[in-house]
Amino acid sequence: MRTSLISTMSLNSAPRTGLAEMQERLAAATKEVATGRHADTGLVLADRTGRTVSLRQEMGSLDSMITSNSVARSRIEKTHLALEDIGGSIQSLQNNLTGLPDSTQEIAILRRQANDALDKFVSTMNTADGRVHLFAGTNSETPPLAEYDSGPKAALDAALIAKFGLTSPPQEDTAGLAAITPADMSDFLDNEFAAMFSDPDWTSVWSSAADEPLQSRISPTETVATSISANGTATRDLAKALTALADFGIDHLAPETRAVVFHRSLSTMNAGLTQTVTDRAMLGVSQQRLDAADTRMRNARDIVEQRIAAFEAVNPVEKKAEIDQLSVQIEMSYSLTAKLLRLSIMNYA
Amino acid sequence: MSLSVALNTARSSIQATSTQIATSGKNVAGADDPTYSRKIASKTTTADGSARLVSIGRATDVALYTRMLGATSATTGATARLEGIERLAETVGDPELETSPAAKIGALSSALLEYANTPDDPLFGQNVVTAASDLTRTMNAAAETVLTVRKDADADIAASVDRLNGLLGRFEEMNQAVVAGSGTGRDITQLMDQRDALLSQISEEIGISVVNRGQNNDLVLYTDSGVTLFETRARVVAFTPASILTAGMTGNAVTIDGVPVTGSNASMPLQSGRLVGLTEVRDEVAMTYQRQLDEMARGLVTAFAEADQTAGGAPDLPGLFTFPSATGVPGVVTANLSVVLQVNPAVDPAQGGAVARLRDGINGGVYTYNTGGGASFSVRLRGLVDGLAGNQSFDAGTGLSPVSSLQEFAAGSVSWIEALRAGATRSADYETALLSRASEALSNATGVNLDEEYAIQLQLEQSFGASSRLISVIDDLFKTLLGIVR
Repeated sequence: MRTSLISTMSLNSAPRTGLAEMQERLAAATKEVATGRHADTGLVLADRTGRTVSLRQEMGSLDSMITSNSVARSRIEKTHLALEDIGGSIQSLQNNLTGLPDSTQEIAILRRQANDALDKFVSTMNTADGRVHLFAGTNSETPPLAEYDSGPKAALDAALIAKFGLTSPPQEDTAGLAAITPADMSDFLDNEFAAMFSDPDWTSVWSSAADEPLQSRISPTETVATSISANGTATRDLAKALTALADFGIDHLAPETRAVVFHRSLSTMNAGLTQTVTDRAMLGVSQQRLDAADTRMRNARDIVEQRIAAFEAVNPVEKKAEIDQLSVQIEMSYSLTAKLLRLSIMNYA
Repeated sequence: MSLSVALNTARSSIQATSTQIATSGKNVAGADDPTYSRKIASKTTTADGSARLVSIGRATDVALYTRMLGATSATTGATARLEGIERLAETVGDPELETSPAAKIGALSSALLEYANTPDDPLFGQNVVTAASDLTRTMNAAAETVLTVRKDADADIAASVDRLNGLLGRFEEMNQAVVAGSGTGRDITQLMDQRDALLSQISEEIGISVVNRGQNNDLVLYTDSGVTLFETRARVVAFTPASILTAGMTGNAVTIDGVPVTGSNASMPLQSGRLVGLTEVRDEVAMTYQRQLDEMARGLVTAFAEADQTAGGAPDLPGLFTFPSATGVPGVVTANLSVVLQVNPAVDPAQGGAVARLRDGINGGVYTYNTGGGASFSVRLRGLVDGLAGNQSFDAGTGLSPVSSLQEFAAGSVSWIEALRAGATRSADYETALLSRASEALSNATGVNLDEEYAIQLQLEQSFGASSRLISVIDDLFKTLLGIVR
């Protein structure tokens, strides 16, 4: 006779089956409530795990771009300030010049003013933001412009002496200076003097800046220029105008010749200032793009964060309910095990 | 005389009952042994009316037992596979911890981007070198883990084969004893239990199918693929562990009687059991993962390689990432590259290098990018950022997209291993549940119920008491009879 049978072993272990699994699930659920994320993300996401890894990298790169954008922004702002500063000091010189001063005293004042403006111009152009010289282009380690007295002055003196046969120092050769005709001066300004502010003289005497401006990657797809090189026409024109006014010995020139210098300087100065405005507008565009990129990337970062949460997060309320249910189940399982173990025919025999 | 017949009947009943009680006692003792099967002492009535014990049998259920063996093989196989994959997946870790090679590549790319925007600042350059060292360490460690997993699997296969040979040897002895016992009609139930226990242990290592030859309970074992494993004598299962197991090199096959049963050369490959799980980890999963790591390493060397800047036709040279005695950039998958990948000493200040070389060109000469020497030269660095994000070609044997960016490839590798782990976990859970169902069913069919044994014992006690009482009555009758005679 075959009776349907349940073995004592499987009867006693029946309520315990699954207990280990329930305890495991309880531990996992507890962890999930505490962290708000899946206890074993890889197991839940499986082949989508790579997506959240990529998203986290995307977030990291957005973060680092936002950080380095703040560096670029500060550089642009400092460049703005410097250009504004230069514009201001030259503007006042320009005002005096427009009045075409002709008294000895006025001219002496103008010359001193031009001298100061030149010094200030050079030192402003050599402004640094941390380790980066703002106007040095990619050659940011070295100050872009040489001090006037150490280099450019000697070159100018030599050119004056060679052209007009002056004695050294040429600014004090009063007779020689007074003898220069307007035509000669025009010729000098067009050729020898102009050459000093064009390559290769400009880069060997005046400037050690690189032509390429600093470039910043402001978003995954955009790269913008965030500085102005001292090799731009603005710098050359302003340096040219200031040098002529400061160091041609204008006090001693014949009035007609001086008028030529004044006229030419004025127009060069105007061209330089106009170019400065253009440069600042260019930087303004960069800054605008930078701000737009920042806003965009901050929004993108929020979205990425949400997407990571969509992949990895769990609903704590749901998990709490699961924990409650599991606890009840485990308790029931314990109590059943104890009951079944007490259940024996021996107690009734 | 019928009185002595009655005495004989009572005596034989007592004998049979004691044997039955003894059998029930054994059942009680074996109640907690999962390999124990219930013994049944069957009694029959002889022609003279006395009870006689014919045989002691045991409860069996061949169908359930076969299912249990199959489930055991499937479970151990799935578990061995899962364990291997879990160890590989540890190289990836939780995405939040950012410990995977994919995360480290992302960190390197961020550091590189910051350096590209501030090329004059060596601190940012140092960050790049630190991120790069971190990445190479992660790659090296992951590659070492893969090698260890493979080596361990190889050692486990050797241990499994040893155990299998030992079990088969014992099975042979036990089978002989059962056959001999069957011939002489002895109680062989305990021996058969032991033989069954050996079978279930064998099925942990290798999938088997069991054939009963009918005569004298002689068993023949085949692997689940049909190779004879035991017939009267145990066959020799052989395996030589590899002394060295480098990338791209499959391990040795397990052979039975010289016939390979694992690996690509096996004509009748095993289907289940620990040996199958271990072989799969050693020769498939871990090898593919190793190949992915090697390709990631090659991708890094390629993305940072430096080209001749003078159009002079000089070959590309490794840049930030290099490997010992490198003479060029490898164009195809290179075994063990992930183990030896390193940061170029020329840019690592800790090894006497200078970080600025990363910006200017590491190899110098025609490989100089920053010909102007500007401290804020960022073209090369931005090129590296783009190169790292650009598409590359990868080996098709990696099981991942053959054309993708390095970051996507590394993320794909994370997905690949985690998908495998999820699948392996599911199938291991499933097989384990199946095994526990099969064991439970088998236990119910062949196990002992203590309450029932107790009830039987009570019944036997009654029967024993009645027979004893009968003997005493007969004794009295004889006494009376003999008293009259005297």
